[in-house]
Amino acid sequence: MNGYEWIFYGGIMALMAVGIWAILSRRNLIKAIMGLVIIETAVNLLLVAVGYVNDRSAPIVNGDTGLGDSPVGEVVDPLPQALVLTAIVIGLATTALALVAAVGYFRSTGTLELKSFTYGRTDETEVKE
Amino acid sequence: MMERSTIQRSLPALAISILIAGTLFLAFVEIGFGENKVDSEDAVANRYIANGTTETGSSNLVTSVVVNYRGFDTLGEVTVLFLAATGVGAMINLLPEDGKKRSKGPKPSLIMTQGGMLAIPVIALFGTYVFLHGHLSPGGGFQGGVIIATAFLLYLIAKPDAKTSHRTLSLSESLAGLSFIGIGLIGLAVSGIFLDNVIEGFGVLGELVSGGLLPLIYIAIGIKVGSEMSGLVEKMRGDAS
Amino acid sequence: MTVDPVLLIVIPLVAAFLVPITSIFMKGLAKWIPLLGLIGMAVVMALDFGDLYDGPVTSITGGFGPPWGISIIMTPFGGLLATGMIGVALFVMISEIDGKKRAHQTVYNTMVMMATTGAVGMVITGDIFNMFVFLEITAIAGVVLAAIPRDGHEKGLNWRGAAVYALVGGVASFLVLAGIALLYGATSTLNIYQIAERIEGVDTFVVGAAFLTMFIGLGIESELFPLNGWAPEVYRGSKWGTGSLFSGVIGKAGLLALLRISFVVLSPGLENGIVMDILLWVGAATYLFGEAAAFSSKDLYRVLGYSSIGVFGLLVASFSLGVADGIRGGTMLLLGHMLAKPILFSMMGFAGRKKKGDVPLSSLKGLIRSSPSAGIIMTIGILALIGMPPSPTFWGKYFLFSAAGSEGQWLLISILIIGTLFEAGYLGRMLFNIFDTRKERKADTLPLARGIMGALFVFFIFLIGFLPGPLEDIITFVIAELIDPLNYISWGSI
Repeated sequence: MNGYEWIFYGGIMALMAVGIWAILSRRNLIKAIMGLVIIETAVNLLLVAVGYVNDRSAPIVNGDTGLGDSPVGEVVDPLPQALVLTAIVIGLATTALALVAAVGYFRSTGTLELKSFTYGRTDETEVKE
Repeated sequence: MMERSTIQRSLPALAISILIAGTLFLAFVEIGFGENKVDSEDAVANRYIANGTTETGSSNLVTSVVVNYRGFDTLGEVTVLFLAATGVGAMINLLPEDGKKRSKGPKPSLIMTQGGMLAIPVIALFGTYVFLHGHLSPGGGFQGGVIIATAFLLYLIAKPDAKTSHRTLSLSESLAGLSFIGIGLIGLAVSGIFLDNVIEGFGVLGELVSGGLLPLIYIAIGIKVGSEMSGLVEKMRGDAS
Repeated sequence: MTVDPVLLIVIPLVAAFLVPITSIFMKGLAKWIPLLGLIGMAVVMALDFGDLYDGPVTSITGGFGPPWGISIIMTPFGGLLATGMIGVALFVMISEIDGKKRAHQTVYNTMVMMATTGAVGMVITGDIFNMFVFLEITAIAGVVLAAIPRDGHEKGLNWRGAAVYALVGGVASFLVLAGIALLYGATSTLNIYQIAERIEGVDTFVVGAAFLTMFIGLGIESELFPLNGWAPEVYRGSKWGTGSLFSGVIGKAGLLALLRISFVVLSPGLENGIVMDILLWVGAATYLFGEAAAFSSKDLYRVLGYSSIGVFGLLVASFSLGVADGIRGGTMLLLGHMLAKPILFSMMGFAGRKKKGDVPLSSLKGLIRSSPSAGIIMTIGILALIGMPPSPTFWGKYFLFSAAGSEGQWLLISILIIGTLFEAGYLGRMLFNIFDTRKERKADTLPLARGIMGALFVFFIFLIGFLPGPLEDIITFVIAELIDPLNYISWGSI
């Protein structure tokens, strides 16, 4: 316990709360997508934070970093960094698709507001034979 | 139905978001930050750090995890990107016409055109460097590919009317993806394990030619990501013009 | 005969990467490459299926065994589900072979294949982060599928579904990822089996938080109440095949992931049985909500969508009873739903194919006269979904009721009865319309491929309904997997 977890995790979770709040409370698609991107960023930071070890260096072994071939006890956890790479790519893909879908929604309805988000009951179009 | 006011909607949303984020915060504080967990024998990462260089031949341990130990994830990740590129292209084709005319915007200035043309080869070269040295230094196929795509983007900004070959892009994308799987299948054929790095001892640790099949996979990923991201940019331009 | 199960993923990926090349050089062929990929998956699955009778089929990737590399462990439950998923995808794709030119068929077929690949990957992988990657493949393919409109559909509802699913699915997967980060921080491993082994040493609050994120994330994917607001939007605006995939493939993968993570991995780290109780009542509420909403909907696409939501609830409830008969019933219900729902979607899509917006109940009117084969196939599908003997759903409900009765869960039984009444209500309405021949209708021929696939699934319904015996060996393994985590952990150490 050195107090850093309050700063790091507190900041990350504040971002997360902002993102979730934005998605739940905004009906504007673009604002909701911004919320999604904020959540993605928070989770990416979270992964890196989980792998950090105090006072250690990046897990790269070569002449310049001065680490041996087997740097046990000298480097941080490489696994979460590998996961973050994947998570960033996935976040990009999700955001790109969501944005295109938002453009499509805007062009077909003329608005970006998602009205009656819950269960699609209202704005029931009259069914004609 | 009456439209609820913003505050009425915001308060429950606030409660839910604070509940989720707060729970996670307390749980992560319980786990601790910066504590040494990797040195214990139980941690999977311990093996990556202790034997990563000898078992995979890569001096960048993150690369050894991304491409070798967890190479299957990376194949999935490449697929995600492929799906996104294909999907965005298809969805842009599906977009309804809104009948609006878009102005072309001002022509790029001389500085933009000439400076861009000067910078593009340098950026592309740097991107190639990044993915070729993925097993030695920070970076790798994804980062290098994205850098190459920025060169492509710069080209489109500098020369908005330029014709680009969609065919070449999707051809190189497909071939790079197939070579990634092909390299994986070499492992399946030789040792019966998909994506096995069958020649991990090849080369001298820390030199360009080392790491066995890792650099080859990263080259394939670099080309694939570069052409995919360029394709994405190109498709989005196709919609705007 | 054993084939490396990693081929279940590799073959469709090769096919997917071949699609762009083929569309450059042989344009007409490109849309059938995904079909070849699916057939390849089906062949691998058929070769491996016999081995599931002896336990899990395993493989490792990257050259390092678990927990360092990513292992593939196709448990009999996962294998059974994967077989069904591949079947549903083949049904969806082959049914559309009718010589007609459709726009975007190549992308549609590719995404059908990739959604199936992702779902199969989710159920056979032994690594929790790899599961997340496959979840994303499924979700992204799902967004594109939701954005592809029905033939001649004009309302732009597809965009609404796609946008909502992209948003909600994105939140779901990143919450799952936050849960994965938590579990990794607590156990220093990503192998599902090793996490299960170490979970008892983890602080209860941490496990609870992980359960919260996983429940929200995977609950969204498997359309559980109250996390399923997005689902009707998707069902309403997309093609019938997309509906079948969401109910038969994408949601089912989320369901298995939810069951596995909650029961096998997280449950031992929490207070006794609390996970089961939560899921049981969430499942029951979902069932009631789904069936009631289906009963009150007018658009047939949404009726079937809500009905799928109801079945998801029923499945979660029956698996969460935590007794052998509940799991036996759940497995049968799962198979019954995977066989009956695609039939209904397919025939309904055929009957309502000329509608430009929502498809009203009346478009089924006189189907038995205008197109007898479609009418008969749909009737059997409806009866199989209610649970007329002999159908898998009948066996499922039979075991479920007896399990709930022996556990003394009278509230659950009354919920089940009310839900079944709703179900009988809207399905009965559909039946009346099919047999309502008062008004003369123009004759309408069912396309051959669609008829053959429908008849094939009807055949499977009867096969499993009359001879559920051969499945019992596999169901024994399913029970072993879900009831005792120790079995599962021992399967993971290849």
